[in-house]
Amino acid sequence: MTVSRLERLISLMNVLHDSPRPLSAQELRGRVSGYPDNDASFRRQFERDKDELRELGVVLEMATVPASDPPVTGYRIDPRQLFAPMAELEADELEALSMAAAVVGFTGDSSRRAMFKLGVSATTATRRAELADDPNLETLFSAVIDRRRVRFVYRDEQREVDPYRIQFARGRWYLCGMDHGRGALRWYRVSRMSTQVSADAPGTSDPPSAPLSELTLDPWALPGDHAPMEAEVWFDPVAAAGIRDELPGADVVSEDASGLVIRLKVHNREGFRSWLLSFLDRAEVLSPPDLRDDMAKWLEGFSVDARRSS
Amino acid sequence: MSRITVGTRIQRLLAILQWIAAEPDGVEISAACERFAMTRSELLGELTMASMIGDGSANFDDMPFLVIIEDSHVEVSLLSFRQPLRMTRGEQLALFVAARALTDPEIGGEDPLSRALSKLAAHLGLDPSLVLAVDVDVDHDGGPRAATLDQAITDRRRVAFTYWTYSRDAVSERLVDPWLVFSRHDQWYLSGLDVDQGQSRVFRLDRIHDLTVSDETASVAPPGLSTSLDFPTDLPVVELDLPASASWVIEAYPTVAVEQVGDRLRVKLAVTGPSFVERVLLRVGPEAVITSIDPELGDLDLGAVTAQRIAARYRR
Repeated sequence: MTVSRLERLISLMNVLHDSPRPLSAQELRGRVSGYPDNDASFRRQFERDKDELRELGVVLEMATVPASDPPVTGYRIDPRQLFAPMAELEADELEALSMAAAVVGFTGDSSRRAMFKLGVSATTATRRAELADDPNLETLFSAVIDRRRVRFVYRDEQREVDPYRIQFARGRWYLCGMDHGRGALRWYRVSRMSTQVSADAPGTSDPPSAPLSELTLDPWALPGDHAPMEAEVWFDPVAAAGIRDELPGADVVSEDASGLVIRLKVHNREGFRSWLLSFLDRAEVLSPPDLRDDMAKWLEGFSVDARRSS
Repeated sequence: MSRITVGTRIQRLLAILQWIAAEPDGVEISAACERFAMTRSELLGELTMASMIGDGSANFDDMPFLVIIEDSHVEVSLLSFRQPLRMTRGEQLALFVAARALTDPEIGGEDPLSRALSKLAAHLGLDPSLVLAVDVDVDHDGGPRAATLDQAITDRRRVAFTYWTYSRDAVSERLVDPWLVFSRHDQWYLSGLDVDQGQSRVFRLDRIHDLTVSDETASVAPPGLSTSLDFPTDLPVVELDLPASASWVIEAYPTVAVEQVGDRLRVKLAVTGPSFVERVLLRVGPEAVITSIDPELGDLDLGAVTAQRIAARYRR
């Protein structure tokens, strides 16, 4: 009878975690049904099975089989590494988490697997916000949790960063952290990290000096060179609808048929200007005068004559 | 549900077996089917397969599970795998991200999802203050507009709204037969028939306002409705000469050609309307120069003309 891959993998995990000593590949071949008789095919399939187990998060320990001569590599799974009771969640908490995992998740299968590990089937949803996965995300996530300093290449430069915040916004993942080379806070797009991120030992990253909630990707809130200032900005009714979506927690000064006025704390003047100009005539800085002057000067820098002669 | 991988099937099977085994007298098969969203034949197939694991081995303890299926009832004894497998960091991250996307820890909610997130964070050894360290800004359902449009699609009702065509910075009233609401790259869209133009169109939900549902019956979506957001291939082209500091333009927009000329960039963009070019020029600043432009989009002085128009607001 044919033994499926699934049966073989469960059987393999069972035999390996139950064994008091490392087992050789040949011993496993004898105890786990479903491996081919041909030696080369067996080796290939055994390698694939090991990879699959690792992908499942199973830690395969390798050690020499005791008393083997010549020495033979053996395999074992430490049961303490294989199993871990999950957080004790109430039924309503499990259900809420399952719903959340159904509507928001990575493009892969990780949230479904995670829900099974919590003992329930992930709820299915017809609509789902798919988040791009990135091979460096797990490392960055671990680094934030364990306060590890990370190293990667970004814009052709080696970076050494204390990671503070990972954010998904506008369809992309970003990391915010203290860039030690620059001595300043920086945001990085994760997909642009051109090397595999490496993380130092736990506890090697210093905590952030600013509250995490202030580290946002909003263009006006990015780390800037000026003291932060409060700005009032007007949007016409057409742009206002989008602003309401984009900034649900906005500090609204007024809203009527003439448009929407909101208050923003501007840390980065360039980011603020660039963002506001994307609304063209549909937005205007109302105050403070300093920021209005900035905007006016920027716009007056465009000369019709200069463009025509170029 | 999408195709299930062998790894996910293993997790599912273990979850099923552990859940059944928690009841010493077993459970009804229908209850297990409901909990794990499986058909009876799917579930029985998995349970039967589980009952055979290790049964060919000379060692009895190579059998991890005892599964007894009788009529509509199933009992399971676990000889191994009594606890769930340890979660990988990737799986923890997936749950964390899903929960974070739908909660705001700054508000400190006591709803089930916020409680689950706190427990999950504690389980991961995450300092409670660090829950904010992962932020997921995602619109998971398209908001009230998507709900209204969904209802209109179900009821086959024509809708009317004001639409902001961003690329031309134009606002117009649309009458649309709604067909499908869908999400791409963290944006929500409506696909439907633009009644006045007699053509199918895709609208971005955040540019729709004053949405109303009429009593008129809407046409039905054609079979195989595409949710592609591909731009037309015959778009007008503009060529810009940009300072090196404007390299973000290449990353932010699809380009037709990019050439490095000395320390500057020569970038060709195929664009959907003049306002697109105006925005790029104003954001880059006076150093951005148009070197050639499709007359349909405007003249070489498009940036300066736009800047003057907007600057007039600041002279008041």
